[in-house]
Formats: sequence, C-alpha cells, structure tokens
Amino acid sequence: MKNGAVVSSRYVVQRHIGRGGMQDVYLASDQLLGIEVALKTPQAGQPDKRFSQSAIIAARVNHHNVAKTLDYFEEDNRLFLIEEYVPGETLEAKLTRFGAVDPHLGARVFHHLSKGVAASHHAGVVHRDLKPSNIIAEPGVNIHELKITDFGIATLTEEVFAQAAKEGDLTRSTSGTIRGALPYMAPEMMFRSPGDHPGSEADIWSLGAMIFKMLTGDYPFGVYLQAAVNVQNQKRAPWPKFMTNHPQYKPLAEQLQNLVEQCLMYDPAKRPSADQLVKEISNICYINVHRSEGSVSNLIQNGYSGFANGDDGTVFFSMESVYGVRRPSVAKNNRICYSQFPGSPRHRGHPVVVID
Amino acid sequence: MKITGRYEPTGATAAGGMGEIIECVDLHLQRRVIIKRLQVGVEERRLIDEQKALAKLRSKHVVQLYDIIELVDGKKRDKAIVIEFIEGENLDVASFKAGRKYLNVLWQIACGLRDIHEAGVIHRDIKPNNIRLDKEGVIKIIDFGLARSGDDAKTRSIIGTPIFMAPELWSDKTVSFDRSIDVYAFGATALALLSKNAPTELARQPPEAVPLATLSANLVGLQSDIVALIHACLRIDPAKRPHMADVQMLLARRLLENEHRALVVMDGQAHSLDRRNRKITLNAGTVGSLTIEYDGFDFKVSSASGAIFLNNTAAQVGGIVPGCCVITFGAGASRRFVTFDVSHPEVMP
Repeated sequence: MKNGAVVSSRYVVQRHIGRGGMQDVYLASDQLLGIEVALKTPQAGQPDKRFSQSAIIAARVNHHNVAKTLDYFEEDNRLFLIEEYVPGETLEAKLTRFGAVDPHLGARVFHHLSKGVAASHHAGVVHRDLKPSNIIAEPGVNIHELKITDFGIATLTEEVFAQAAKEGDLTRSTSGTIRGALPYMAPEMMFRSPGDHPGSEADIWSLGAMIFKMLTGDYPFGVYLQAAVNVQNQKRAPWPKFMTNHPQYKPLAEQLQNLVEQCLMYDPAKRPSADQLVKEISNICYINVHRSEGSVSNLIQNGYSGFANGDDGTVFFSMESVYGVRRPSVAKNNRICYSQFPGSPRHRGHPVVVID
Repeated sequence: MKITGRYEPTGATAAGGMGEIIECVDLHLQRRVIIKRLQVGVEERRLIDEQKALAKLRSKHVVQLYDIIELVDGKKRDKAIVIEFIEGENLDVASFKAGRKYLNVLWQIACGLRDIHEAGVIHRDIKPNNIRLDKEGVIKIIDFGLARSGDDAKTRSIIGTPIFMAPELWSDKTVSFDRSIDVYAFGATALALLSKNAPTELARQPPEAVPLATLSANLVGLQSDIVALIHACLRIDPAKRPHMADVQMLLARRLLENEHRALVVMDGQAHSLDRRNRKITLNAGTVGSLTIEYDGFDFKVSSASGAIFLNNTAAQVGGIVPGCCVITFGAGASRRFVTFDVSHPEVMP
C-alpha cells in the first residue's frame, strides 16, 4: 500500500512497518479518533476466510498486555484489521540489545506476559506462535508496556503448519514462518500429526522458552532443525553459571529457573496453567525500579568498580553488580543499563547489564 | 435493526448518564460493544474530544473507544460513540470489607483517575456504579456521560450524584471547578464501598466537613494513614484535596506493607530480611557493627557503631537504607563490603 492511502475513509497509511509470513503491517493514523494504529492486511494469495477468523479470535481478548483489536473491515475486495499501535520495538530487538536480561527485569517481563497469556486463555484463545518477535514493548531499556500481538496468527499459519505436518516433517520445512517459530515451539506443535490441535499448554512452553532466552541470552534448544532434534531428545541447554554464581542474583535466578523448567516439561499435562504461573510469579520479589542507560566513563580499583554517565547523572557501580557474560569497560561494552539508588558523592547503579 | 449496517442491538439496553446506551454485537468482529448516544450540541463535541483525549492515553483503566457514528432516527441524527463492552460487574455500595482486596480496588481506581486527569479530563460522576471490575480483576472507569475537560469547567446546573458531589458543585451561582471534584468523589466512593451509612455531614446538601474521628468510626479496620487520606480527599476546600497521583502512591505503599524482602550478602553468605525475620545485626569484628530493622515499609538503621557507610554515606540511626546499597565497614585497604538489596512483589491489578 502507498503512504497516504486512505482506507475506510478513516485510516491514513503512514508507512510500512512489518511483514509477517502472512500479512503486511502498516502504521496508520486514525483520522476519526486521532490516534495511531497498526493496519494489517493479508498478503496476496492468503485465504480471506482465515484472515477474518484470526481477527475474530484476536478480538475476544481484552487485556492490557495484549494488543487490542480495534476494527476489521473489507474494502475493494481487500481485508483490513486495525490493531492498537504500540510505539516501541519487538522483544526480539530488545533481547538482541541486552544479550541476557538480569533476573529482576526478567521476572517483571515474565509476570506481565503471563498475565496477558492468562487473560487470553480465559477467553479461550491460544496463541500457538508466541515468540519475542510477536511481543512489542515501549522504547528503551525498561521493557514496560508489554503487548502480545498476533493472537489469531495461528489461524493464519494453520495451513502452512498442516501442510508441513502432512509432508511428514514439520521441522524440515523451508517456510520462514515455521523456522522463526521453532526455537520457541512446543514439542506437541513440532511433532503433531495432521488434525492435531495443540492446546493452551503450547503457549506455556513458548513462554518458558522465551524467558530462558531472556535470562541466559541463549536459545534453550538451539535454532532451526537443531531445535527440533534437541526438543525431541529432551536435551535442553544447561543454565549458564553466571545466573547463580553471584549470591546477589542466585535466589531470584533459582526461583525463575524452577518456573521455566516447569514450563518446559515435555509432557504438556505437567506444565503449569497460565493462572498457576501468574499466582507463583505474583509472590516473587524483584527490584522494579526505573532503568537508566549510561556509558562507562572509567573503571577504578583494578577494574573492580567504575563510573557511568547516564541521563540522570553519573553513577558508581561495582563489577559484582554486573549480570551476564559481558563485562563493562570503557573501550568495549561501554553501554550499560541499571537502576539508580541514592549514594554519595555518586548514586549507585544496580543491577548492571551491558547492552548494545 | 442494524446500526450503520454493522452493529446489531442485543436488546439489553439500559439508560445512563445523559445519553442512551445500546448494547450491540459488532458483526465484523462478532463481539459485544456499547453504543452511547450523545446529546446534540456543545456537550456532544466536548464528549467526543474527551473520549479522543482518553483514547490517546491508552490507560488500562479506561474503556476503549472504537468508533464514532451517527444514529439516524427519521429526521433526527445523533452522534454516538462505540466503545468496548467490559465483561464484569459494576462496584456496589457496601460490597467490600476493609482489607487487601478493598485497598487494591481503591488503588486501581486512583490509578485510573490519575490517568484521566493526566489526559486533562474531569470525570465528574465518580461513584461505585460507574466503576467496573472486569473478569481479569482490572478496574475500568466507565460512563463519562458527565465528564468534562478542565478548560471548560463551569456549570450552572446541579449535576452528578448526591453524596459523591463535591460541596462546590452545590452552589446556585455559576461555579468553577476542577479535577478535585473527582478526588472528593473518590473519597466518598471509598466510604460507600464499605458502608451504606454515610456520615450525616456528607449527606447534607451541600455537604459539610466530616471530623476525622467520625470518619475513623465509619472506617473501622482501615489503617489510620488511609483514613487520613480519605479525610483529605473529602476536604471542603478543593485546593486542600490531594492529587490522585499521590493518593495512588500512598495506597500502593500500603499494599506493599510487610511484603518487602531484603537480601543481605556478607562474606559470600546470603541472609534475608522480611516480615518474619525483621532484624539483622552485621558485625565486622573490631571495625563496628550495624543493626537494620524492617518496619513493614522501610529498612532502617536501628544501631550503628564504628565507621559504617551506606552507598558511601555515613550510617545514621533512624536512617532508611537505600533500596540497593553497599554497606562499607571501615576505611582503607581492610574495608569490608556487604550488599543490601530490597525487592518486593509487584502490585498489579
């Protein structure tokens, strides 16, 4: 669609912002309500019925951690879905930037996503393609305003998956849609027979796989075909030592590891429900203080500690506070993310994570 | 009869506010929506502007606006808004007991009102019946039928609902008012959620100041700071009522009472402080010792001897330990470090 195109006498296309396997996504402005929206339209050759079904399914969910379906219509033989637009970037982009996310921020993301998934499951809606690229978060390092998008996408991709399953081995599919989903895909999705319809437990697996990726920086089972082989052999990557070798992170990291392991149970019946997950996580304590970004200016005490300049002034930090494999330094790994606490003469930054 | 060829009335129609409310099914998305007829004129334009301002804000406590349509009835053409249908129950008078659930609901209402005020909108008709608890436990503030924006806050008529109406609205002169009428109504709502019997001062027309002692008697079981907060919301002088952002903060603080946890790491050993284990004494040999106690809200230094620094500031008895800090014992090369990190569960709807 061209920029400036008007749809339904109301939505003005601003620019193309994404292409899923099945649909094109544009940023549009809703002239009637004066808000920005995401306009989605199926790519040529996609069956219309599936697109309309996916819209109806997504529209059933009403929760602030799920992007709202605002409108749906047909115009000039073309279908359009209007969705809440969240300025920001995908969780995938965030994870790339962070490498590994510390357990405090990780717990928060886990909590909010579980809430969104639970609300969807209450409405009888299963996502079945949960992955970081389907989650949008506000700009910056706080990862607030998390919204799961593309509920109902499974309806769209159904045919792709069914076809692949019929051909005998879904994991050998050359489809980009399937390849992108594999690292987070539940075994019952991977190895299903034609006609199988994996239930809500598949979302719990995907959630667990995403949180694994977030806390460790690594895929729990690898990517592409390797993911399928490892899932089938129940060979998950081990938890990296950096998660627990520091006593300041260990207790929370262990709590989260335990929850993720439950989500990644091979037998769907053994995984917790979204409600159970929410209940567990709502009791978990985490540091939920605004995150700032800063640049390391110098290290002192033989590199044991250092200073960073951020938007809210200079902070002092100790290497003990650093989570993940990357160590902050002036030359390399210069950008860090941290919460700020009162101190003298400099405030203290903690937890500290190197970001791109 | 379908409306604009898209919305089919379900038949469950109720009157409310200034407009007429029609429950419909949106045939495009096969979901229920609410259509609300607006009165022609300036009010109509104002209401639409307000709804748009709120739509921009995207608050989880405000109902989503989908569409603005025209209802055609013979020659009569009325503007109407199409908004999301919230599955759940409106709050009821005297339906709560003083406790955690009640405080969480108050906190959520306060968050919603803060958001609404941030958008420059005054709700004008806050009362239990205009607040809905959805199936996911999220409070939604509904029925902006009387809401008006801040720069147009003059009225001649008595509107709103008695008990929840701020005293300044009872004047028979043209009255100016601001968002503090919502703060007053919030205070009255906090009372009404617990009891049918409002203090007599509140029921007078116009209402009079409620003495703190009377209010306390009406709010048995509620912590004194929350009673004081509600009392402040009900102040006769609008300028003395708190902002909703502050109300929200105080309620959130109460919701976290006794929920904090401090992780103390000394010499590689982790210790934790919480409501069950409120006190820790850290001894660094001859350098000194430090005792920290949890009072349900903060971790405070209850005794300190020797050269002890919290994030490089000398420890003082009575001082609050920063949320994350390094405690340093002594000075020079033989210093010893202890980390102290406070966390808590997140208060969520």
